Parts: sequence; structure tokens; C-alpha cells
Amino acid sequence: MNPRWRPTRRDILRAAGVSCGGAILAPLASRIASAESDTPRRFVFVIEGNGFEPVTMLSTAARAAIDAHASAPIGDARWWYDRVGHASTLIAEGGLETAPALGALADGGPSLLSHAAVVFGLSSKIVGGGHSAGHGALSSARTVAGVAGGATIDARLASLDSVRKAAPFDAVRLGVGSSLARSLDFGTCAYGKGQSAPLLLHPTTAYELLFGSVASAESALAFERRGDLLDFGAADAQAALARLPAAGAERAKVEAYLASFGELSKRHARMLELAPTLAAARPPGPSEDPRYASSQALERFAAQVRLATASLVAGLTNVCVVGCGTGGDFNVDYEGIVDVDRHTLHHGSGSNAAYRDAIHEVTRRQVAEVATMARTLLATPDVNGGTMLDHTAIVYVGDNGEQHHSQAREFPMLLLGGSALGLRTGGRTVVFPGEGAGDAHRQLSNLWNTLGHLTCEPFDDFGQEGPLRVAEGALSELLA
Amino acid sequence: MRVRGFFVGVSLVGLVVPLANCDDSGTATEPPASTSPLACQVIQTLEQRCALGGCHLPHNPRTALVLDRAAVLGGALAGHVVAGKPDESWLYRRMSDRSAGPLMPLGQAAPIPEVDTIRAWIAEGASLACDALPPPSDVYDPNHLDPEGVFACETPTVDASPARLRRVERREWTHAVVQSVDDPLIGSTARDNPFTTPDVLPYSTYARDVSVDPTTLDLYFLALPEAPASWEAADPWAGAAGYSRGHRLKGVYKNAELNCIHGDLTALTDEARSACIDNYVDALLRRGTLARTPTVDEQTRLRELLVATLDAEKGDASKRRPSLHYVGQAAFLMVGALFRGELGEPLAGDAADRRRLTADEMALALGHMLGSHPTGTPVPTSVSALSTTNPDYEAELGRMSSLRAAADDGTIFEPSKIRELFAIYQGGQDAARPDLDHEENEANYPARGDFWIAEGMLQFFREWLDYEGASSSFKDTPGGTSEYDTPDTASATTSGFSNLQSGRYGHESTLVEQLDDTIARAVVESHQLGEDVFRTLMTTRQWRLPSTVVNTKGPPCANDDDCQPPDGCAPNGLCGTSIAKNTATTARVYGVEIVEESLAGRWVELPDDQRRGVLTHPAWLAAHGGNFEDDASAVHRGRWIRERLFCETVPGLELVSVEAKLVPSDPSLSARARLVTSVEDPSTNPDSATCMGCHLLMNPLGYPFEIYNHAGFLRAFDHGPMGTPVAPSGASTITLAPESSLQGDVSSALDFAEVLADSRSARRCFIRHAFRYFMGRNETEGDACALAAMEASLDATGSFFRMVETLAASDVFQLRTLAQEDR
Repeated sequence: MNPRWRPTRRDILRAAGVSCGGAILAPLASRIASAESDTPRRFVFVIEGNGFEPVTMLSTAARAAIDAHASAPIGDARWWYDRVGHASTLIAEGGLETAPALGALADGGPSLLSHAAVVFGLSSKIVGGGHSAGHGALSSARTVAGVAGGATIDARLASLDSVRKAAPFDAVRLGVGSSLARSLDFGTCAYGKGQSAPLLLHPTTAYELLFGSVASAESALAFERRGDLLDFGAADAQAALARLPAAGAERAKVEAYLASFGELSKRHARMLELAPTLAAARPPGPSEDPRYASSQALERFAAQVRLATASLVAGLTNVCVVGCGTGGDFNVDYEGIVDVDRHTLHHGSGSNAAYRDAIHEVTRRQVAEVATMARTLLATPDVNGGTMLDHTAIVYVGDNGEQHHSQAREFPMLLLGGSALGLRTGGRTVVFPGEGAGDAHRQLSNLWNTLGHLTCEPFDDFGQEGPLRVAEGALSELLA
Repeated sequence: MRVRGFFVGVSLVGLVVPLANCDDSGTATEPPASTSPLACQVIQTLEQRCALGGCHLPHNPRTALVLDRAAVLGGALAGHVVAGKPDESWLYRRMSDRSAGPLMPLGQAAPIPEVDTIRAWIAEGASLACDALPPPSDVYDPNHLDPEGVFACETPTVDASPARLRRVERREWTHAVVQSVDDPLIGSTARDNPFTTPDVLPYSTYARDVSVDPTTLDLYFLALPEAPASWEAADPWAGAAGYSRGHRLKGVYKNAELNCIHGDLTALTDEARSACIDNYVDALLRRGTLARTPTVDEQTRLRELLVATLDAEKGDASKRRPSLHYVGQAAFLMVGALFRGELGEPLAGDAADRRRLTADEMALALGHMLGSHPTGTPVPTSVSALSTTNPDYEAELGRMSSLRAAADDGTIFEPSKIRELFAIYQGGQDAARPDLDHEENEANYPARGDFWIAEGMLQFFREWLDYEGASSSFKDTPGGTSEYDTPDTASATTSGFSNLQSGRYGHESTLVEQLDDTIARAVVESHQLGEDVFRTLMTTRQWRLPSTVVNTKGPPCANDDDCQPPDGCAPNGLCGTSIAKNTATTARVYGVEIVEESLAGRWVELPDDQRRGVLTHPAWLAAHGGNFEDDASAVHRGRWIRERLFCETVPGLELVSVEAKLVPSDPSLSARARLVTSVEDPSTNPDSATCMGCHLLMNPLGYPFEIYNHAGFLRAFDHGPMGTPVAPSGASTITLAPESSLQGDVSSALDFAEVLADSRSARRCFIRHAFRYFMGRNETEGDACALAAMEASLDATGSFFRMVETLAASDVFQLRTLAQEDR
């Protein structure tokens, strides 16, 4: 095999079609044609529970630009929202590798610097801050007592036809909890007000859901059983119809239930169709990779990022969320880095330099995993030209804001990829004016609306700040 | 439908003349020989825009002009249209010319597009001869019913409700799998199942068009693995952890007839093996998923699946639990597990072809009135799971065991039995709080009151008063304009209010739970004393408050140095734990600084000059308040009263095209002044006349509550000119009320509460909403006798329990028909 040749998704699809014969080839060929007729649009949200500190993203150039207008130099500060003084947006070009946690963008493979951007200055006070804003970070709406105030941006994007296309899953949502006893996180994403969209917290469960059909004999059996359950449910619904009047709204309820079984069965069947593709993209499974069941949060996080990457490459979805200690369950531990839990770590960081270094090391490692994802996508040619990274916008952001006990005054973030969608990165740091700048200030919801502008169905009204909203719409500084 | 035929045939002369083509002198002429396409459009426009989407409906006391199709075809436009002369026609002018008054329909910044059609129709001759009028809109609003007629049981009616399938609701499914709705037990994700009733329906009990769409089913598959956890092993606690850990169930755990399924089936005779499988399938369906007797077809289908799955084990005993786990999931996917039938069986000899609920259906429906535990669901065996005073504590028949028994012996339809069943489950006075069993951390029990009402009844009050949002409504500076709006107290007040919303720190009750307990006492005591529950609710001042000293131990302190470490000085001036920082100020929203830590001490009689009734409770005020102290809370509160106490509909914002926005916050503007400036004052809002078309229905009803801020704190001052504090005012002139006794001046929410408590209209609206909630549907004119019976029961006893019990015993509840659809 030519070592320089890397298979594209189309190659994978074609290979799969050839190996599966005509019966499977037809739908695959149709899917290839469909995929080629339109630009793929993918979005990835990597969310750190309890946030990461702005200083970890601060390059030398950005520091100088902010200091030039600040009431006091940043110095040793880890966050500085209360001292910025610029009245218009600052752009610092290049040098992202000088930021404490962004070295992985330059090291470890092809440089990602030109594909990246750091954003400072976006607030989201409506979400409250604290230890975690719950769904608020991604919804720009208030979550209280665990109840989402509105849809999160991943759900909004996933609902768009121009994003989902023919993917079996509208979105793949994965996460890491503080305990393996928790299987689902309902506190990070939402389809709408009060409608949580859960994150799968067990990498093994996620693996089985996404790649189980082509993994081991055991997981293939689980996949098959899910199909059998769908068949059983459909048969029962069909039989129940016989006991109901021939027409009417009550019969329609059971007919709708029956149709839902049909819809999920179709997805089941599509995944069977995609079996060769899935097999080609399948990452090592739990039996091959100990990180799936690791007691260390960052190892499980790495496993989930890898699953998300594989899901994108396999065409299972075009929207991924990977959380780590999100939804209020932030108290994960970092064995191997520090021997105290996150809460203790942060509380002690004011007077303990080792703790502060540990906090930043966590961010460095997470960025390294995100960079691994980006490099995989960069190395994978896309169906209609360019690389998958060109058609994938990756956002790395915290779920509460600038500090452990956040006031949601600033959400630092790292953006990667998406150039073919119109996202402007270019190795820049974009620093929006602080709250004191009045109408020139911008909010996190503006970033989510910016992502909306990368689709065929742009929107400007995402977010529920109400009277607290400074301005609707996208951030032009981030659009090409 | 050939409308013209109806139109001509019914009363040709009377109908045609007022609207007829007129010659220049206005003299009536014959209607046109042919139909007019414009006529159909105009009739439909008037019906949709002016009647259903606006105010011009029958029985609306605020307008004499009715514009639904029947009225229009009946001559309602007489005098309002001059055929051939649109510019002289009142109808056209009101819809096209702002100088004629607020543009119609109200809320429009510019004439609606259909006004051109209306002009052309008038110019063409204003004929109402329409040959192809589309069917009426499917929109049904029970508030459009004649408020007198809906209680007028003058002629015998054929009472029955539409037969229906009710999809289970979130709480009900959680309880079906023996998990807690309110207490997020470690690892359990059951309460996060996706069966929340859609927001578009008024109450969680409604079932119209509610099914399981693909997204819901997808989410259900995430919750499904937990469902059979209590059924898949002889001892669910053995060898399991996390979410899959089930409960040992009474009647299931160590039941010899069922335990055999977990052992070596090959060691049994064929007959014993078959009986074992039959017993397990029957128990799983009857008590685990369907909560009723399974049909033969259902039993056969699940049995076949179980037998096939057991056969596939090929003697491998380790596969038994996975096998039962798989079959259990299948059982929870069955239609009967997610849809409760209220279809009934034909009522022999009934001329109206009505059907009576089966005994199983009646047990489920009655049980659903009282709570969300499916009838017969096994109870956990653990000693702490149920209190000894729980009606189902010793019951082998499971939850709602007395209903199960009454269904089994066929007595469940008898009024005397229904009364007996209500007496068991409706609620009462019991500090052990049987309603909280297996629901809440037992450490929280002492903070709750000693009065309780059935979960289903409490849920009615939560949804009718709509106060659950108090826990999730963002409040900026919750103590703003109260006595705690000082630099020294503001921060601690905010912490206390935040904890009151979330209950995060300590074990005191939340704001929502405090209103729960306050309502429970009002309902139970009014029942015991024979006092009118509606009046009691509107005026009670016996409220349940959180203790502010439970996490403080004393002694008095001025700062942390006065306390023994690690304790600190709590905001109430007593040494206490770190939790005290968030719990010592929770009663400030009530204007109370110290609440003692005892069952009696947490019952506080609020001052007569500060609070009166549930509408002055901070939970209701916060749920219907804005985010900021000077927000338009009055609009939200007024709208609730208009819709939930007057049973009238305020047109939705979706119909408004004028800019609806408050003027910027200003230290010299109170919330009321901001609202007046933004909406009411023509000198500051050129569209005020248009705005007031709807706001007149809300603002005057909300102003009395301006003595409280957005979070429910009593205001100590309000914003005055030049930022000078002034005394808060709740004065308002109530207009457009459904009865004369409600009209007039009130000084604040305190005397408004008294007026409402005595209002026949408001009390009847309360009854109508109870009907809606407990029937899970809107009332119709055909329900007049059931509503009248509920009112008579309330008149006679004052008891909410008796009123609901009367409904349960009625034909409307017990009889069904396939001839009507759920509305």
C-alpha cells in the first residue's frame, strides 16, 4: 500500500459498496451522490465542566494587545474581565503556540495553528455562572434546578437539514462524569426548554451504540437485540391497532408509535448498510483500549473524543458534543496529575502554585485531545474536496465561564477548522470589548449565531438574554 | 357545505336585508343570484382574525359584535357595511384607517393584508352568498363558552366523555419502574424519561394527539435498560450496581411462584415449567408494565418471546439475567405500558351507544386522579421505603391497593366506594407525610408540614396556579425595593433566595414546596371544618416557612471571630455551619427574619397587612414575575387572573405586530410607571390605544400586586420622580370583569384577594379548571350537568376533596363514547 495514500470517506464508502454487493451498493451510491451534491457541515462542541481559565489560551501577542488598553496589566492574573479597557475589538495575529495550553496546536503532528483561533471577551451573565451553568453555556438561556431554559446550539444545528443530511444520528453526545455509576448526563444539552438531550457517560455504552454493530460478537448481539426489540414493539403496536376503532385520533396515536418504530428500524437498517464503512472507521474497542473503563476522567475523555472523531469520519453524524464533568457533575478527579478532586484543587489554587499548574495541565491535555481530533480530520480528505477539518467547526469552551466560581463574565474559547464553511480562524486571537464597552460588547449567544451563519439556514436570534441582549446576530470578525 | 343553501333556507329576508346589496339610497335589494368567491374569503377572515383570534366571540361581555361564521351569516354586520361603498363602511374603516380608532384587529401596526379583499368585497356588493366555505377552524377554546350556560344543567344530557388512550406522563413512568420523581437517587436516570406532556397542552393530564415520536422513542431507549431492573433477578441487589440496581418488591421478591424463573427450569416438569413462565409473564405485565389484566394476545406475545429467549440460553445459567432483562425491556415497550386505555366496553341497552370504563380502566383513571403510581405497582420492601401510615404500607396488592381491590370485586363504580377510596388516599394531617414516601430524602421530612394532599391533587394546584416556575425563574437582585435592599443585607438576601429556589444547601423546603404545604393545609382544614376551600385559598395567612435557625447553633455573633471554628457568623447574627450562610435568610422573602426549628414553629401566620391568600405567596409572585424588579410583572400576573380566574382568553402575542417593548429601566420609574409609559400613555406611545386593546385585560388585574416585587418580596419603597423613593402602591381600578362585584377600585392585592374570594365567576372558573385537569380535557356545553354537580358539592361541603369525588362518580368520568374526539 502506498504509505502516502489516505482513504477519503468516499473511498471508504466505495470500498464498502464493492465488498457488500449490489443490494447494498445502491443506497450507498445514492448516499455518495447526495453527499457530493452538497457541502458537508459538521460541528463539534468540546465542553469542560466548571470551565478553564482564560490565561491558558492567552498568547504573548494577545497579552500585549489587551494590556495596552487595560486598567492594569494582566500580569499573573488568571482572568481579567474586570480590567479590560478597549472599546473596539482587538485582533492579535499569530503566536497561539505561546499560550500556556495551546502548545499541542504546533506540536505532535502537522501544525494546526493556521486552523485555530482564540476568542476572548464574550459574556453570558444570563446563564448565572457559578460552578456550572448547566445547559446555559450552549443555550444562552438560564438553567435552574436542572431544567434547561431552551435548546442548546448543538440541538439547533443538528435539527437543520443542511447539517444532518442523511446521517443516522442527528447528534452524538458523549461525556465524562465524576463517577462511573452515572450513565447519562441530562444537564448539558437540550432539545428545548425542559427537554434535556443526554450525554452518554459510559464510553463502552457509546461504543456499542455507535459501533457495536460491527464490533465484537457480543456487541453485535446487543445491536441485534435492539433491532429485535424494535421488531417486537412494532408487532405489539400492530396488534394493538386491531383492538382500536378503524379511524380516529386515538388510533392515530398508536399508528404514530408504530411509525416511530419504523423510523428507528430504518436507522438500524442504515447502520447495517453502513457496516463496512463503520468497520473501516471503527476505533479500537473497550477490549483493546483500557481508557474506556479507566477510573481517570481524562482517559475516558480521550476515549470519548476518539469515538466522536470516528463518528464523524464514519458519517454517523455531523454534530458531536463531548463533555467532561459538565452539567454540574464537575467534581471529576485527575489521577496522575494531582491527587485531590477538582473542587479542592480549584479552591486551593489561589495559594498553591502546584494546584494552579495542575489546573492548567488539565486544559493542556484536553487541548491535546482536541488537536488529535482535528489532525485526524485534517488528514481525511472530504467527499467533495478539501479536508474534513475544512468542513468541521470545532469549539472548545467551558460550561460556566472564566473561573471556578464564575460570574459568567467571560467565556474563553478555542476554535478550530471550518474554513470551507466560512469560519475565519487564521491563528488569530479575537478579543471583544468587555461589558464596560456597552453596545460594543458581545455575548456568547453571538458566537452561537455565528455558527448558524455557517449553515444554509442562518439564524440571528439564538439565545434568551431578553433585555440583557446587547446585539443580535453573528460576529463578523469570525466570518470569512 | 353549501352555506348559501343554509343562508337562504333559514331566514332569507331577515339575514339578507342588513347586509344586502344596497342601491345608492341604501335600500335593500335581492341578494345576487350567484355566489361570490370574495364572500367566502371575507367570512373566513372575520372568523379567524376577529372571532377566534380576537375578541368578537359569543358570550364575550366586552363586545356586542360577534363575528364568527354563524353570526356573520346571521346578519351581525348589519349597519357596519354599506354595500358598494367601502369608505363609508364602518367595518372597512376600522380595519384600514387609524383615525377611526385603534386598528382592528387589535395589535396591528398596519392594516392586515386581507383588508384589500374586504374592500373589494364591499365594493362588489357585500354579498354573503358563499358556495364553498371551508370547514370551521379546529381551534377550540373552552373560554369561549357561555359562562352561565356551561353550568346550566336544565335539560337532561347524555353525559359521556370521549374514549381515549392516554400516554403515560413522566412521573407515572418513573413510578412504574419504582423510582423516585423528586429525589434523584444516585445512578437512577428513570425520572429523566422523555414522557413529559407537551407544553402546548394546558395540563399534564391532557392526552390529545400525544404519542411517541421517533425522538421520544430514541430517548426512551436510553431509559429503558433501567425499567426491568426489579424484575430480572431473584434478588435485584445482588451483583448489580449503578443505574441497573432495582428494588426488592413486595409480592415479587422471594415469591415462590415467581422465583422459579430465576432457577434451573430444566429441572422442572413440563407442567411446572410452563406454569412458572405463565406466572412470571402475568406478573410482569399485570403489575410491572400494563397495570391491568393483560389480554390473551399480549400474554401470548410476551410469553413466546420469553420462551424463545430462554431456549437460546442453551443451558447457560449466566444468561438468565440478561434474558429477563431483555424480555423486561420488551414488556415496557408494549403499547399497554405507555398508553392507558380509557376506551370502555359497550353499555348494554344504551341508546346513545355509550361505553363504560372497565374496572381496570376505572382503577387506573381514578388512581391517576389521586397520583401517578400505576395501580398495583409493587412497593419496595425496604423498611424505610414507606411509612407505617402509608395506605399501601402492608399491601400485597401494591400501590393504590384499595383501588385494585375495588376493581377486582367490581365495587369501584359505586359512589359510596369512591368516597371510601378518596378517604384513604385524598390526604389529611400526618407528620409522617406518606405522600413523600420513596420520593424525598427523609432528612427533608421534618421541614415539611404535617398536612398533605394526594399527589394528583397537589399537581392540579401546581399547574393551575402555575407556580413551579418559581424555582427556575431568574431573579436579578431578588430583594430589590424591599426592606433588605441595603448594602448590608442585599448579598445575603440574594443567597437566601437562591437557596430557597434550589434547596441546594441544608434540608429545609423550597419556595415551591412551601406553597405546596400551605395549600395542603388550606385544602385539608377547609374539608375538616366545612369551610369553602376557594375562599380559604384566596385568603389564608397560615403559611409554611423554612426554618432560619436550623443550621445555626448560637450564640449571637457580630462576625466570624465570635464563633467557634469552623462555624461562622450567619447573616441572621447567630453562629452556624457554612450552610447557614445560605439558609439563615431564606424567610426574608416573607418579611420574616427568624423561623424556629419545629413542626409548629415553621407554621407562621403572616401579618394581615402584608399577605393574604395564595396569590400573595412569593412562589406564585415569583413564578409570575419578571427577571428584574422594575419588569412588567403586572402583565404576567394580570394575565393569569384573566385566564385562570376569569376563564377568559387574552389574545396571544403572535397576533401583535406593533413593537411591544418596555422603555429602558430608569431610577425614577417604578415597574408600574415603566408599564404605563411604555403601553398606556398616548403621549409616550402612539400605539397605546392599540396596545390597550389587550393590556386593558391584564394590567389593571396585575397592578394590585405591585406592592410586591418581581421575586415576591414586599416592597418597602418604590421608585419616584428624580429617583426619590416613594411608597409602593397597589391601587387599581378593576374593569372589564366578568361580574359587577369585581368591578371598581382596590387598594392593593390584600383587598383584591377578598374581592376574588367572594367572586362567583372566579370560583366557577376554579371549578372549570379542576374539571379540565382531572378529566384531562376541555369542558364543553355537554358537561354542564357534571360541572353543576361539582359546584353543588362545593356549595354543600366547601371541600375540594368532595368536589373532585363528585366528578369521579359522574357519568362524564365513567362513561365514554366513540362518537366524540378528545378536545
